[in-house]
Amino acid sequence: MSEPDEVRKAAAGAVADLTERNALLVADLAAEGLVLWDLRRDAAGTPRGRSRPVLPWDELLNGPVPPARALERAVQTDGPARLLLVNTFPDGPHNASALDALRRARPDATALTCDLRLGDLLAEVIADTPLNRWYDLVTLQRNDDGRLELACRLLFPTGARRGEKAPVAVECEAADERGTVFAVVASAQERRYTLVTRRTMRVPPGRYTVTAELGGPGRVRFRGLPAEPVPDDRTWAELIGAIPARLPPPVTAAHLVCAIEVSGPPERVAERLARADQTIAHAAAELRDRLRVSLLAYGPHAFERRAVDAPVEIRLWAGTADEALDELENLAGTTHPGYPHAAALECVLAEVAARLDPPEPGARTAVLAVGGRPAFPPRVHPSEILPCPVRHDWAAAVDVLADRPGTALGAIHDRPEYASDVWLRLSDGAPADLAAVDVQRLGASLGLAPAAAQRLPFPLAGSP
Amino acid sequence: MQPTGRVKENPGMEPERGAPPAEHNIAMWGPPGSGKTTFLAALTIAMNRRQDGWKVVGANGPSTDALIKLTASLATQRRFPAATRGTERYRWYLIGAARERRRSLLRRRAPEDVRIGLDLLDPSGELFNQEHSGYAGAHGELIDNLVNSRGIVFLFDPVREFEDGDAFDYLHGVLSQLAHRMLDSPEFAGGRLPHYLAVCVTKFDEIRVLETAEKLRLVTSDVADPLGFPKVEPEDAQELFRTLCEVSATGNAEMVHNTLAQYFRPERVRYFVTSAIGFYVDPLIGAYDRDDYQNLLPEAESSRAVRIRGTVHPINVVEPLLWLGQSLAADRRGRSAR
Ligand SMILES: Nc1nc2c(ncn2[C@@H]2O[C@H](COP(=O)(O)OP(=O)(O)O)[C@@H](O)[C@H]2O)c(=O)[nH]1
Ligand SMILES: [Mg+2]
Repeated sequence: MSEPDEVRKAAAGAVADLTERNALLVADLAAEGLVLWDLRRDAAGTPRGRSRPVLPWDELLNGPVPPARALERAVQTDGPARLLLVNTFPDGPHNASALDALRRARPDATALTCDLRLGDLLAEVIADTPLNRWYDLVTLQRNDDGRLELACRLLFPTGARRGEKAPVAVECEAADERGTVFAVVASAQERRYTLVTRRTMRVPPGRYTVTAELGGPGRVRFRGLPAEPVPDDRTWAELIGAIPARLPPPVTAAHLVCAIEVSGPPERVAERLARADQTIAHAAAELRDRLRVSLLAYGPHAFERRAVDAPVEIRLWAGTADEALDELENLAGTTHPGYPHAAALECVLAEVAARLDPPEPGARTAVLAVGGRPAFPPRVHPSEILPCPVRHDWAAAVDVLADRPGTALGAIHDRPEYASDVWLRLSDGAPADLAAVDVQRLGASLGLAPAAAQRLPFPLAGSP
Repeated sequence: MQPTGRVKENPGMEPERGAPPAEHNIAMWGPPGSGKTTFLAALTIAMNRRQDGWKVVGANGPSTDALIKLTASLATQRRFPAATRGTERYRWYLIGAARERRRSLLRRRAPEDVRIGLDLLDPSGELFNQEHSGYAGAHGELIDNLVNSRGIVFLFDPVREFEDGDAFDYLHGVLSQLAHRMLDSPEFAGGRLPHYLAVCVTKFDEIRVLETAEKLRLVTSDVADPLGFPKVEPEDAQELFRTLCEVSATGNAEMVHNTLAQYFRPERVRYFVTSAIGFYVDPLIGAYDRDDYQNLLPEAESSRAVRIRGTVHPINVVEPLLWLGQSLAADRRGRSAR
């Protein structure tokens, strides 16, 4: 009888000697029969063990083949392999004699007798095996010119053991809906990387210091992320292919100015408010506290005698996304009566152009109009729409906004096929359709979220 | 189809018993929707603004009532008269304080008023469409009307022509019948009708009309006009009319001009560029603004109905009538002197 420690030591020695080619066969002489474990290292150097189906004693000892021959054949291997024999059921009627027979057939084998659960022991031995590779985290590196390159961050050197921890700073940019991939690769001297493990997690954009914890070869856990794991069936090649060539400069601050037309049928107005809500919520999810929101509600001018002409209401200026969402709720149910064929979008644009602070580097401004009616022209116009009473000129205001650095314009229109010139100018000829807004695309075109092609599958290497 | 008699029972058009007869009769004529009713509604306002003593009065009860209603609608409610249903018949007098004709040291005669009868027979669009191929009903009445007058105000609506282009059909039908009825008249000399004709291009206040005039460089402005309204000089009005005829929707309006030339004596035709409502005048500015002159206001998102935006300033509404009145008066003096 040996001590469990002796078995452990023998197993650890044999596992340490494993290579991709040199396997280890562990024969467990158990109560019900012979259980065989194949162990070898995979391409990443991680020892992997698999058990074969039990060979019952009855089959081995009472079959057509003589027992000694049957046992010898059971432990034959295709390639070079060490053999470790462990009798884990010393009291069994067949175990001792079977062990003897196997020792005779394979004098090179290590043979031990100890009552223990061999599967558990092997798992522990594997987990305790020191790394024989370097483990790196796959990150992306932004060059000065914005180009992106794969760059690895060392997590664990060779010889590292279970329980070791490595802090690593990363910056998560917006990923697509499948999340950010935390991938660990192994490399030996020759620096050829092999994927060890990967976890895809939905991580809100931001800087994080992540703690990588080694759980043994092939096992790395990441702590310190407010993340939710998601399944991911992309191949390594697909992931690499999803890396954009370059990354746009980071958004340090963003200001979304949302102008909503509150004229026309109430259900139409409600729909516009709902779209504005979605757009703001989406931008807030991407940018969090980097986002400021302004909200303008506008209707038509009033040309009636003695009517008060106040078509534009600034409901919020540079507030938080939450304030904006609340204000949208307050707006529900409002409609401006007045001139039926136009709304004062020209006054909105002039007001916004005048109100925006001077642009700051790295700060984005997005001006989004949500509505349907044409703007009032600055003077008598073939459309026969009356001129804006204050003679605001939407084309001039759009020019000012379009020339402003870091500023993007966008439009959601009730019926894009009928959109008038101001709506086309605001949206590069293609307003989003109120009935089917792709908020993600809209956010990207407004510069509030990276476009699909700019989403990063891996985290950026952060500065610690 | 029976031609209607020359003397008709026509209570709506008859002056009230006891009213002195008019010296001249003028008939107003134009396709449905060309602005006849509005033109008349603007007449009181226009005369009021002139302050030269002219006024309009109804020749009978219904016409007086209509006059009051139409004027109030335009001036106070800023609404266009409701589209004519059935057939409207109005008879009004334009009464002007005439120049004193004869002075006498001994006898100071009160100056005689000039009195011009003004008839409007306004069949609605549907009636017109049903009838305009024959003499029946209102249409025959209209021809009677024209036969009995020697002055015609013909309204030509260029905006309608841009869209429908049906003026020629209308004009041609009426003129052929009028000519037919007057064949035996000694006045029908040289194949031309004896009438004086004031061709009024209406809706000068609309963008498309003013812009056409501007493109032709026919627009002037009168420094003496406190409102500074754009204006087409009387001698240029015909050119504007002809150009407007050319751009009509069917292309037929081109023939309108030729048809008029064919039936009327050139020296008896005059062209006027008119607007019943005039250009918009911002009360704060108090004058015409070339960037903002439309005087129409759409009523609702879903309809084409319009209202009048500001104060009504009729353009060339009185002038055609006075020209006709003076021409007819001169004609009569000439004839009686002979
Ligand atoms: N812009 C403009 N529109 C007018 C004017 N006069 C009439 N209209 C328009 O033309 C329509 C028809 O006018 P109306 O007088 O009823 O025509 P009628 O059928 O000839 O009596 C009105 O409802 C107005 O919309 C005018 O002076 N200017
Ligand atoms: Mg009428």
